Amino acid sequence: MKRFYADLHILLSKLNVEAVTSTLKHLGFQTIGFTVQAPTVEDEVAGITDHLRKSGLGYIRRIDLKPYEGKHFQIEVIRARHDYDLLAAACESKHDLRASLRSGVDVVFINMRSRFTGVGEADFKLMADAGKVFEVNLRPLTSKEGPERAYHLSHVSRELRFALRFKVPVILSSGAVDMYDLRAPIDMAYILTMAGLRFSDALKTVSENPEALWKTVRSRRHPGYIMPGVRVLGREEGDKT
Amino acid sequence: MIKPKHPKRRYLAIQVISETSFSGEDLLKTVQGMLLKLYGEYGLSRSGLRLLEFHSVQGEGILTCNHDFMPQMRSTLAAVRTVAGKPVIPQVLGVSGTVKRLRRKFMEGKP
Repeated sequence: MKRFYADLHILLSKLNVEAVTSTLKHLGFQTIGFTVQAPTVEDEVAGITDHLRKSGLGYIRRIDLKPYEGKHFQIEVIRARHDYDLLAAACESKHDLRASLRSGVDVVFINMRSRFTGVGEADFKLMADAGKVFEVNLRPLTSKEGPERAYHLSHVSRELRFALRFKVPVILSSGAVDMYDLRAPIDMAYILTMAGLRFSDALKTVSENPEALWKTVRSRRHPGYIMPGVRVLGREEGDKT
Repeated sequence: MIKPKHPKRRYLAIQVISETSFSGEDLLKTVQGMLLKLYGEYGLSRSGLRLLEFHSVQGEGILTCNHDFMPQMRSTLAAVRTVAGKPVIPQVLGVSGTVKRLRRKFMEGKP
């Protein structure tokens, strides 16, 4: 059986959608998660989804939220859930991370622009308890140079070690902003082996783990969906609830 | 006296997606440079890296390395972002133990 490959973090725009989708298909991806950036107009999003539908690639709409402490973030998450399939939290500090773990986001990742490196053992334990997925982005691993890349690799290696220990599902995404940030799924997995992961585990981060997340997201689209594992299959006659 | 075994080699069919063409020499220099950055001089010496052929128009070629260095070679290739200053997407089409089988499996019908 052919393996399922998904890249769930791609920043698409009207300008690059054609080049990126054709490259993704060529590289062997079946599904993508395209991130809707804040100033994107609804018409542009409709244009992108239309193009993706025509290309035959599976897609989900994703939004990256900036978490913060307080009730308002929870409300923001609930609102975003109506419009987007996948909610991700871009964390830049320990407070952000803890706030995202208390919220209803699906994916947690460390913002590549931030210098936050303090994700520790306790955070991964909480992540496992909260049922969150941890995301590693490929772009900083390939775009950074010299000591910066070495430090980044060492942090990723540490995070992956904790994730494995507490059985937190990890997904590897490209975080691509243009087609040249993309890599074939197996090549992506090989890059993660530099962070000390075995190849079999690295392959799961581009195949099995995104597939499981994709299935969860799709199950939410079912009209009778109530919560994970619970959905209305049918109603008895005369049942008005 | 035990005769030392000949080191096993792996052959990689590669494709480099780019809008512009470049020579095999440029590609080899870039891969060697990246290997040096990621695994150092010791890694480069252990790799047995050679470029057997490269067709600049199609952007396809065959690289060879020592078989125990294959995972490192693949991660090195994936980390390459530019060749001769032009952005590229390197992709490994397949790996084999012989050139003959590599051509048959991954480069069939290609010159």
